[in-house]
Amino acid sequence: MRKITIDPITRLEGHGKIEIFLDEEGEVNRAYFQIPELRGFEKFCEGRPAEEMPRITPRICGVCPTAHHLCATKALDDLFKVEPTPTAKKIRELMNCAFQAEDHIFHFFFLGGPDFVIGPEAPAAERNILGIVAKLGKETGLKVIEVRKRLREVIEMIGGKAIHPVCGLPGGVSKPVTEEERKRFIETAEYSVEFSRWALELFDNTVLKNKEYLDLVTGDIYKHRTYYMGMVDENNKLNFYDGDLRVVDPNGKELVKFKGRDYLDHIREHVEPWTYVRFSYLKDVGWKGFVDGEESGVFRVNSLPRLNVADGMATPLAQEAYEKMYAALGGKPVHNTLAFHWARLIETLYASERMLELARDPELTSPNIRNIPTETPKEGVGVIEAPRGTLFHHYKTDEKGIITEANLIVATQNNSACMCMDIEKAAKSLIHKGNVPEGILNMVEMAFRAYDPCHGCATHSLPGRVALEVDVHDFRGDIVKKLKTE
Amino acid sequence: MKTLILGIGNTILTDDGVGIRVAQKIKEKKPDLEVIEASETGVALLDYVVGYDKLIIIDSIKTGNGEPGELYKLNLKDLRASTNLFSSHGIDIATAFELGQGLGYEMPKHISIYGVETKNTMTLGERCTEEIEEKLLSIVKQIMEEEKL
Repeated sequence: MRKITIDPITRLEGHGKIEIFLDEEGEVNRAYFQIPELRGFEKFCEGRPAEEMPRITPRICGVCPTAHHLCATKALDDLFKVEPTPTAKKIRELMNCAFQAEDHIFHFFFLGGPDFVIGPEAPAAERNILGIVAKLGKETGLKVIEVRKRLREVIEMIGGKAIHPVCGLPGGVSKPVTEEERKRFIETAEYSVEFSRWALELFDNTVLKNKEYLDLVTGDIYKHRTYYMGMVDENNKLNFYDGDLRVVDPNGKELVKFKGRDYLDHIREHVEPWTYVRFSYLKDVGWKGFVDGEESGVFRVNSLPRLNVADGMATPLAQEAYEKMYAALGGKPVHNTLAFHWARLIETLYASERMLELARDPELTSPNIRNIPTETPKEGVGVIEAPRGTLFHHYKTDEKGIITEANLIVATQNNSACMCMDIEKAAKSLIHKGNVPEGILNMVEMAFRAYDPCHGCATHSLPGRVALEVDVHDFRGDIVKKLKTE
Repeated sequence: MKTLILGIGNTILTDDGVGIRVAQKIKEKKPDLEVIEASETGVALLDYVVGYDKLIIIDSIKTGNGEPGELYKLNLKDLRASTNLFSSHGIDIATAFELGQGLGYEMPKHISIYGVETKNTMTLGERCTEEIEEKLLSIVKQIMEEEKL
């Protein structure tokens, strides 16, 4: 048996790669990123009973299993034309809230936040959770681990398993919530509300009171005036689980509001020859290239986009935090990519408050958890807000419910056009006359981290992380500089 | 000594699931062993491993230099390639351990990490590629001998 040391780049070739092309003057002509493509999804699904989809699709992405599970379950509701019982909807929504909060907390404290808490200029080796613990103390680390653990416990209690939930069925869920479980949900939700308030305070003290960081968040380098999409309830307040999809233009004006099942009437996918990534755009506006503004169909999803499309938050503390953010950043909509982090913490507070409301709802423990489907299946669409944005599952089946066609649009795909634009803008602001500063790597990474893109399953293998590589090409196409995370 | 075997991977991504497949086969041979399957290697590790004396991790790996199905034994410090968290998905095993130790959790004192060289981890499929399927039992045997299970 060989004992080896890994060079992380060798196994990650082609993963998380950014290519920057310069013109004859050494200025940036265009920039784009490449990520690996998972092959054979359609074929893998075809021939399987549709009921298997909530079990299988969470495995496509180890990051958002709960979102895929719930989205697939909603697609089955639509496929079998069965409305879930009110209790089943509440159980599912509570589960999604716990997942959103857990994922957002993880993102802020482990991935995105260290840039601000430790500082964007700090050495990469310190910009992580260990750096946060070193700076803010062990108590902070323990608190983060504890809240995460409790939220995962809620997901596991409802889902059967924390990683790959198995509770969703067409028309409902597989088991009711007991009174004992309810007590635990309430405790966790209360704990999570307090945690979220503390996290927002931390953001206030470390970012908003630091002019340098605030300038970075509000500066032009990560700013794009795009359309936004997200789910809203009947009052146009944010909802993660159910509602219509609302799109607002770069001025914040509603362009359209539609049902998930009509997504093909509004969203199209643009393909470029240089990448596997498909770029979602708004059909009503059209694809005009990698540009922003009212004329371009590029839109964004995720935390800040959801807040941009909503008229407000459905819970009181989150509403306060929402108003505070827009007052501080000059009104709606906010176009700064780095403000995704702030919005993420506001959403964490909302998810926690909403979880508490649902946990206290008397109907939550009703045994009436499922309506049995009786219709013949044909076609179904499910839509949900995953932490990274709007997620669509679309299945077609034969009359026995065997999958004949499956299509998924994941959040990262909806953001992929603007991610390219962010990279290009960062590159253009930093590279001049062929001079490529080392700092570009972190500047580009910061844009990436804000979106928290889902790069498929490539991260499962050892060593469990995706490296980023930047290749800079001159006007002849020759590589003149290679940068990579170390 | 309280031992935990952790199979890591994705069983619908062809060879990515080899760590789980091997862990399952070890469990079949020794049903008394504690075996857990996981799809992530990051901070969630802390949820599983706290309180164990020994941890055996089995995962897929792509060095690009080996034969599919070749088994490697790795040290935790070898995995400490970076603490730079570009990954949108999590933190590496080494960081998770350092965090756990730093926060005062009772982390396993003995850790063995095995990586099985993969051929295809980008195509959806519930079986490993043939080269690896053929070697599964031999991989199981090598690990059980090395760990004296």
